[in-house]
Amino acid sequence: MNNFDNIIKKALTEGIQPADKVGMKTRLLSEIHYKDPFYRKIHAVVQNVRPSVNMRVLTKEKLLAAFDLEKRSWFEIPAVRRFASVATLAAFMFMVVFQPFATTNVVRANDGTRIVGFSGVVTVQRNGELFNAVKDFPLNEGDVIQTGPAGFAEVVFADDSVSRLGGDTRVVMSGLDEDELEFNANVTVLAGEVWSNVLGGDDDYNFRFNAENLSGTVQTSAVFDVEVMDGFVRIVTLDNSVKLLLNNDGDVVPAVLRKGQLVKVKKETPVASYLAQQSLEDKLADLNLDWYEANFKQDSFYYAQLRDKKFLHRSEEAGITPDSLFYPMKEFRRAARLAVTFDPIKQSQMELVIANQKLLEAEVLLSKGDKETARKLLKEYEESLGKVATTVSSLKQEANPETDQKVADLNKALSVSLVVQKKSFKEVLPTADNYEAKVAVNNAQLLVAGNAADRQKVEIAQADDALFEAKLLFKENQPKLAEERIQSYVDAIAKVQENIGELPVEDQTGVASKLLESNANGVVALDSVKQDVVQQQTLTVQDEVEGDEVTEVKVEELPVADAVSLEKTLTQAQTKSVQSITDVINSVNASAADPNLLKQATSVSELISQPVTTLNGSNIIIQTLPIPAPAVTTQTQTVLDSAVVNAGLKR
Amino acid sequence: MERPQLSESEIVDLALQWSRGDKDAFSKLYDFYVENLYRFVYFKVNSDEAEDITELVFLKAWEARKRYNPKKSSFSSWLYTIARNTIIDHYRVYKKTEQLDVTHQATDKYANPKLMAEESLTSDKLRAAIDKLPDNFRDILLLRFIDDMEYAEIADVIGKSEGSIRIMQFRAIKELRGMLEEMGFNE
Repeated sequence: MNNFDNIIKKALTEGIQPADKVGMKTRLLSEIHYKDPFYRKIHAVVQNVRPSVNMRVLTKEKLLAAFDLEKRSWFEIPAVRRFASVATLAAFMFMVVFQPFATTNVVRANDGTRIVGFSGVVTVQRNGELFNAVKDFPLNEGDVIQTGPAGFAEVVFADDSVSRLGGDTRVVMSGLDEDELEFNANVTVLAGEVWSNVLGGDDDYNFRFNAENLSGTVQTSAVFDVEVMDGFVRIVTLDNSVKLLLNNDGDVVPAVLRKGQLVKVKKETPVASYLAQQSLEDKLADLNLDWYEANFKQDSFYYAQLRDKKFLHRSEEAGITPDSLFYPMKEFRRAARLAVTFDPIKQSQMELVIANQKLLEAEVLLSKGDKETARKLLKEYEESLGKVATTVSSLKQEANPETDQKVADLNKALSVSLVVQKKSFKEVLPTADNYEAKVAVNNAQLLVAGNAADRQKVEIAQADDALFEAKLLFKENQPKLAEERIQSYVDAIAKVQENIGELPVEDQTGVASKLLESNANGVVALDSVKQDVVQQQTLTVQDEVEGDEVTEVKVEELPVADAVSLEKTLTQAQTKSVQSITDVINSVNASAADPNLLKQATSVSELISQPVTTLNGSNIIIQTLPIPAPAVTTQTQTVLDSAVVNAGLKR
Repeated sequence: MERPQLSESEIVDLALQWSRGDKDAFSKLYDFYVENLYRFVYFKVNSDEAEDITELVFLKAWEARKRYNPKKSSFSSWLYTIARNTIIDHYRVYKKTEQLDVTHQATDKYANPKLMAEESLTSDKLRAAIDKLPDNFRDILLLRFIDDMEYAEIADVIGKSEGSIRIMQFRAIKELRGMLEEMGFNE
């Protein structure tokens, strides 16, 4: 029993002595707070703050490298190691002074969510205080942005997605969270209009918006507009789908708004008004087309800016490249560090850092046209990652409690590095100089995949990327390349489907689920490209954006042969995707499948089927709309038909 | 990453081993302290400086490792004292930058009390509130919240008596609670 307990005991039996009063009061006061819910709340918030994985790994590495040199008497060390130690010391000094590895291994995270541009009156309310927006104004959790009647604000998120606020608009920013593996953002539109161009990601990506009685989620790339009007919310999707949840008086009803659709969701009758959605063309008269036009133009400009920014950033990260006189020193430093590191985990950590730096160097060389040297570096990058993955795998098998955590950290660093590189290359197309670097990252991903099931999941994800590239290629007027990428998508999915039966039974569910998801998204994405193809036929004048200048140019119509060929490929790809979904669903229904997989299969079959009526638990009827047929007008069809006849082509 | 479990006696042993040149001992101590030390630094400096300053603290601790004396203070107290001094030195050179200008108070027209009340407390908001506390109050709260440090150890770090630390903690929590309530965060 400690002194305090003795005092308490004594107080209870003999009363409190004057000398003990002050000490007892102080002690009691401090102990009370410790059990206080307020105290525990603060404690929880504080505990949520953590340093990055990179900081932990790299800082320890630097310190241990320096520590190693000081440990032994100089003359006890063999000559070779003395030499290596000097090199390491030089490397350490270089690291401490110039910090070349401090931001490698992963591409430096973008700046956080911020207001990058604005006009008119724009204010930000934060913790009860009001600030005027300035350029690059950083946004925090809970900030409320308000634009004046003629105001405008452009918000860029940590992943470079963008939201633009029109006049008299009020939004709350929350859930702003981005680390190497996850992205979250939540925009609540209280009033006005917000255009969003979301870049999308993978399973750990969530861009959400809320307005009145509905909320929406986007995981893949999408462009959409949300407007809060008197008594209802209007949503228009311009690219890709948006998943919605409608709050029907406490009942939450899911829905999907596909590309080119407009819905006005009334506050009182969200589901009924959702069912009345019409295609965008029928509602054009209601929309403020100036706002739409301005945002489309700004998006084109923004994409170009983003590509330039990413490349410049990565060039800076690469540092000295093989075409520099100083590159041998850089190689020497790397070799020296590795030479004095004997712990396999630390060696692998260093190899990972070096490999990622070589990837960046290769990109710079590709941009300069030195493909030969770049390809050597890319091969080294792939081999290094494969080697690190092998080390992780063999260390995991050893199952040593002393190193298990370090091995887990190394594995995480490897995953994070690939995720971040993939994100950086997302919009890089086969027409870009650095496309081979993207291919190298894809190859590395496959090498690093742990088993056959993981490899198949990676192949599915890479197939999705191919489809995404096809979409962008078409927008860049590269129909032949777009067609090639669509074919790659189809072939990759078919290959996975063929091999799924060879997987261990316990792995088949996971891969089947990914396949369903990919095909479902693929069907919609292919339809979106199809609509673009048709639209291209009717377009004769297009705005060309260069810097701040916008000029109208007559666009060369998509050559008929290309249009026909692309449309055929798209239709075939869609058919195959639908067939693939059907095959997976049939195999899922036939077996005693995982209940979640059955649920997913049902939901996907609803997505692709003809109009069906289903009942959810609350007896609310949801009419699932079919995938809209391409918006081929009579005029367009006539043009296409006569072009086909004139060209002597058959579909 | 879950924090490794180390008892006080294990920490003392590791610290002594490290001061004699044991890399593994340092590695274990680093893994044990890095997250908490980072948290301490994070709430005292600009967020973009936290990682650099945490690294600097470990560098300084490494340089001073031979001077660590377990009879004089616990390893935690010693390390956090280095952290405190590093931050003080840092701000002697680099004055803490003003974050944003306040233009005027929120008007009732835009205020949404319900919305404000429903907002959740985040590390940035907490930092803003903690920032307004006097230095010693701030340090005491952080050392208690982050490391559940004993009052005797905190007294060692701050350089005051244990009794004073207890009273100051009480006042610090009261003041912090008041500030957070003003910001709209109710319990």
